[in-house]
Amino acid sequence: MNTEQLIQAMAADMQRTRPVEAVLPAALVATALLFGGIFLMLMGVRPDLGAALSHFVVVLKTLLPLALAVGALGTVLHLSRPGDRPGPWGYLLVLVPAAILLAMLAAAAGLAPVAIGAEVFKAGIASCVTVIPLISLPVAAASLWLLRRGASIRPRLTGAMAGLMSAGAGATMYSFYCTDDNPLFYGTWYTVAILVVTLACAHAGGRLLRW
Amino acid sequence: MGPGNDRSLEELLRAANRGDQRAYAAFLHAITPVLRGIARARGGGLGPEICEDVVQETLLAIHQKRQTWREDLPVRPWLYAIVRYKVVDAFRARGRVVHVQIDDFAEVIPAEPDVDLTVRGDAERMIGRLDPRSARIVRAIGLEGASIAETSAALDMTESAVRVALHRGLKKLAGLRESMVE
Repeated sequence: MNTEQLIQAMAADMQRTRPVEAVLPAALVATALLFGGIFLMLMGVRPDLGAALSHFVVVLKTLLPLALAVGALGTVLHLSRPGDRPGPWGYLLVLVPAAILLAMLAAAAGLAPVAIGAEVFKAGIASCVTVIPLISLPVAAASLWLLRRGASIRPRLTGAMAGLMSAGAGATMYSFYCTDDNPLFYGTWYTVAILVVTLACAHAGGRLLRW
Repeated sequence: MGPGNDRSLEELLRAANRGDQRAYAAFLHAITPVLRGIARARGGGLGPEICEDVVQETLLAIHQKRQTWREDLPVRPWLYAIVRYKVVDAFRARGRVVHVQIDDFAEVIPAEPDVDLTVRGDAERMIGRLDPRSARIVRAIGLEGASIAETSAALDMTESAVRVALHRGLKKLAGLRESMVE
């Protein structure tokens, strides 16, 4: 089959695949609500949720991972389109870590090292670093599968961003259960959980997102 | 070079996205000599047949990924990014490390096929590995120039089934070529 004939066959193929940006945002919301929702239905949201949300640091615990997910979603869509112009989303990926650091510094201000250690190493660690990845991984799997129809020329980075996005969404859902409200705790362990998922997805992306 | 010679790549691809087959064929015809020029400039030592395989592999990649172009952006940065990625990848799979710079696209001399590189290329071998029905459809439409309607009548399938089989066949073809040389 020569090139002319191949072109002829391709021109006859008018089936369009829906682009990533048309399906990924909805898939992210749906899978995060589904898998986060299953966890929250089994374990229950924190009993004092309404009252807790009047505290700024508690709201931050939900908003920061949410902002991370939004920033990573915008970045991953950008990466999946070759030659695309970057949007403003990347800034969130700088602003969120900066805000986490600030919140942690503010929480640590005036505390003795022993007291800081006591805030960081609490009983909630095991639950946090296992449940966030558990919620996030099916979200990430769906996202990576959809991203295969994109055309990233940087598969590992795109995989990492998909992981960051999924873990951000997973941590957002988990925050409604978690009662550890000190930024020293969630700034440490949410970050650890999110990084684990991000690294795993970078690895998976390097394999799955080649084309 | 067929209809739409005077239309921009953006216009052609936008029309193609709305189902205009002639515009899509014109788009592919417009970019192929440039691809061939790049492939020859980068991998000339490998011979015209291998270069033509690389051209076909790149065309298949463009075809599979055509929905990743955003209609409000220029086509060339998108196209060149795909071509760089795929040409480098295709030569790497054949044991040759090449670099494609953006400047190459400005300097490239568009090339027409100088010999009739027909049936012995990778495409033919790859089509042989499709399921028989997809292979027949890709052949009928590509080699014999049959329309969807004619193919559906000849194979006693509905037109939409032919469309789906063609789409899957080309997708499989792109995937096979990717895994072929590894």
